[in-house]
Amino acid sequence: MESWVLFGYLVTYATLSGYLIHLVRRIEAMRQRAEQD
Amino acid sequence: MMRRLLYGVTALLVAVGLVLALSAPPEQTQGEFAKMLFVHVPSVITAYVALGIGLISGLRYLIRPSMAADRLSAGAIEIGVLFTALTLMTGMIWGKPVWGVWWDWGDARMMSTAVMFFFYVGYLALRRSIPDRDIRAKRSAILAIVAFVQVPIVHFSVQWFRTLHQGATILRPDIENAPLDPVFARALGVNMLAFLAMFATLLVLRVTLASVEADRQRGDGPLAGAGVAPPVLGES
Repeated sequence: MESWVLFGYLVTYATLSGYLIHLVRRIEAMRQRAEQD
Repeated sequence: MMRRLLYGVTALLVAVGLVLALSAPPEQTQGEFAKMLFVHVPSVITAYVALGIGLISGLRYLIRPSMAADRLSAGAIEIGVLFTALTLMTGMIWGKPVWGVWWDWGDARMMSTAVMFFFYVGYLALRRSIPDRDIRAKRSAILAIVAFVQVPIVHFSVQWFRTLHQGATILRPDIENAPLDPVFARALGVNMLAFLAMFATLLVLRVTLASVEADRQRGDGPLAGAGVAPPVLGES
């Protein structure tokens, strides 16, 4: 397997995972803040 | 329950898609580099679908205004921008070893995709520049409709102009003559479904976040400066 291709897959899935984690953490933070209020 | 099912199906499709993509045989002329097909093409198809949902929800908002339609439109377009960025990135990573260049300023497909990307980044900027939610929703809906004209331009650019980028592999009028080996077609199909499932998962989460944020803003009262009256000309 070409490492160049693996790099392409890494860029794709790292970007999508990063966005997913960002959304989940923001939803969690908002809910926690709502509970504290 | 439905959400958990969606998350489970998405994880399964991504796993099967990755196995099929990485275990596919090398292609005759491009060798291993052809495997970029399984992330590049699904990215752009998902971007089309996302921006299409943005358009339909924008239309729905203009016909019958509702914050749910606005949130769906904005969420779909935000994720569409992400998949358009992925299309550009994976295209460049594929182009460098195969064409010898990261980017070609004279290529119709690359340039039209870049223009579409920046157009929709403009949409996101517009949303952040208008504090009033009704005005923001209306103007965003209009822009979501106008901006969608980019999608057919991007898709048909390879038929209208013969430049560096190859013609359409799928979504072409003569689909029965598509030059794709069955092994590649199966891997591409599963990855397409995996990307669409990832889009659905991200959209559910993005709309949830927008709803939670809207609830919180309602609880916080008016935004700073909302009580300041604009100056009025005339006698005091």
